[in-house]
Amino acid sequence: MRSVLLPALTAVAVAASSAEVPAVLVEVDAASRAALLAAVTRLLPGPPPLLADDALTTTSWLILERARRESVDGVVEPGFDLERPEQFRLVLRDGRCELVRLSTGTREVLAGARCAPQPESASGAP
Amino acid sequence: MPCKRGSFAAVLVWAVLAGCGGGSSTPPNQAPVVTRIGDRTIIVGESATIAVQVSDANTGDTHTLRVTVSDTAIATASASGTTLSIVGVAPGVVTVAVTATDSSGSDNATSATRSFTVTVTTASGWIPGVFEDAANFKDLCAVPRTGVDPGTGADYPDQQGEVADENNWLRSWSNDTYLWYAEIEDADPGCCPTPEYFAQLKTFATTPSGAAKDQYHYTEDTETRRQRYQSGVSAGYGIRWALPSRSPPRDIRVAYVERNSPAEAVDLGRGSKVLAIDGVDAVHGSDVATLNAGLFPRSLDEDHEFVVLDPGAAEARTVTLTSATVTADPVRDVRIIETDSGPVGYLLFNSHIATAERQLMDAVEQLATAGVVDLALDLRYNGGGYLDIASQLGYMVAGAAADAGQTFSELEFNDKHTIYNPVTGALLAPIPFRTTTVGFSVTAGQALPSLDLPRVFVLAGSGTCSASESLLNGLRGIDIDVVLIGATTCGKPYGFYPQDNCGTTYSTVQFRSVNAAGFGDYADGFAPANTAGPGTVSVPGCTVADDFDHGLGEREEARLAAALEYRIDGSCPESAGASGPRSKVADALAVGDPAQEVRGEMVLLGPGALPMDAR
Repeated sequence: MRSVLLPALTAVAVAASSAEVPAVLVEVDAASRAALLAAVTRLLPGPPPLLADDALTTTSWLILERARRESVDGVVEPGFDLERPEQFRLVLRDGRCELVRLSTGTREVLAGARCAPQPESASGAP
Repeated sequence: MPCKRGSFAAVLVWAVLAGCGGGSSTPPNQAPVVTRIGDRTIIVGESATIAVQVSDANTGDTHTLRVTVSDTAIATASASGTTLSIVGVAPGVVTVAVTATDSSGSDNATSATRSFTVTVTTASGWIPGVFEDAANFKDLCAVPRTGVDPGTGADYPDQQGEVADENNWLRSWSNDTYLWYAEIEDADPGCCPTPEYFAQLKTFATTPSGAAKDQYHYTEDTETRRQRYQSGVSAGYGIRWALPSRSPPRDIRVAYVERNSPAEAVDLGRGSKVLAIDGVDAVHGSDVATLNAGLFPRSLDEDHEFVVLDPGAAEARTVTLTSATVTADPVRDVRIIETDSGPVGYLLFNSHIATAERQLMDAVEQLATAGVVDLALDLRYNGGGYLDIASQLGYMVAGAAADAGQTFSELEFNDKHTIYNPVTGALLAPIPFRTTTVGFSVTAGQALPSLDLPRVFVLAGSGTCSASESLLNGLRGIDIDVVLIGATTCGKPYGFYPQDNCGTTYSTVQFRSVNAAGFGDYADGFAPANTAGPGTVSVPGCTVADDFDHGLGEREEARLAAALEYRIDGSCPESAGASGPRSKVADALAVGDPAQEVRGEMVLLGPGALPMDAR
């Protein structure tokens, strides 16, 4: 029984993931940046993170790290960092831009933002 | 033994055992019995009165108490009739022993000793050396946060408590997890405000060099700590400053600039010297606040005017820098340097951040393709970060020598936690050299390229810290020859799990990292062998000053040139000279300004305060 069901479940999963494609933001403006920031903050509660102006415009991956305290001569606090960065991926699904937080699988629609499939050359990120 | 009066039962027993009979003798005297006395807790300076119950078969007897205290520095006791009076002298725990003697003249009998415990505390409940579970005090706050925690989406866990509760949590937490918990001088949690109390919860010992053993004990606002950044992104000009002299006459230099940054836009580059900021003399001026504000803007779109003298320029020029979001490349430069004995790789690696995973992989592939026979790994400005990135780079340098599950680092906690990580609960296990990607910025599980080098030249200085030092130590642990060129590294084999309580996040040293050989004693840093000072770990190599007259990666740059020279005949350049330990080495970031002075004031990535003084 199990040997019959497992391929079926796998097929369903593949079908669901194939309905969306990695995406990048296009025609970025203040509104789409604000939508991105709002989506990130909803997916990862806390103070709004600092994002680059070109975030998610060249790759579908967004990596956030905790702010590190650093002295002027570069000494990083707090010591060795054993945490993992938070990773997000922008996908295009049913014509909508959705941001997915990979550690939880939760997603948010970027209302008002425009997306395009990620260029093949940028597909190697995590 | 004479026969005495007594109860019927006592008389009967006596009659049987001692042969007393008839009415001419009295039954024997019976020893009184002191009834059980419950343990007591009293506060220093206060007293407790205890009415002691004494029973005696000889009903007519009266009794006198005798009381002793195991430590009269903690409590004193006296007796009056059958009443005890105990006075708390100092916090602690004592045993009070009581006996009762009856009043049978020459045949007085004394009871067995009855003991009980008296705990003397301060008003805050402190007993030296006695630690409750930290969980008993967690989230008991003098000023509880209310409402929904934006960091979790759940209600804040805070409950109304007192300052002493917050201090008690710190005390118990430190006693449980601080690496050097036995060196904390136990103090009354009721002594003082929480920041002051936390400052006491550390060792004040010094290392062999005379530096403070623990230089990494600090707090930050929990909301601030939650701030996140896109990997590599910060707000500023894209300048890494170097401060050869922080006090007048100051020497403020550009160490390097990031690509596509405001600094690059105005053609600032390595070695440019800052002469004035916003009209204030940067060399001799006393308006430190203006200088700091200009060097480290706290927000975006700040304009600051700089007068700079570029390397080789005869005249200064004025530039306006506007703060902006800047994306740093952790792997700043990769070069192949052709030599008579084969190609030598140069890799400038500035930060162990997530995006470094992909960039290091690409860089090492490039170096491997070129067939480099040696590598100069420039970590002079690399203050650390993810240990997993260091582990990956270690493998990429050493290759097969680091394969097969070799230990890169092992975290050692205090002697209360030798099996499980006290914070995560995970079984303690060595961190191996990572031979595949971990998924920070490249798909997890990809095989890493490697150079299979038996040695590596590390260009280092006081800014080489934490994960960077762990890389050195990890490689040395598997017998890779590390040659150190530059200056003594910062000396930070320690780590933390920052912990929030009541809105403040505390960091206290909880573990140290050791290599495959079990070595992790480099609190005074790794130093080139020709100038190793007290406490430093001597590593083959040369002390060479940072060279602001040449670009990083140029073969004429002093540290890189020294590495290239050393690989030929193992010699150091004459100009390297001899110098002392970390605070005296000819390192641009340490001259005239011991590193520990810096560490008291930390700044966030990007904007932040410069610990510059006006002396």
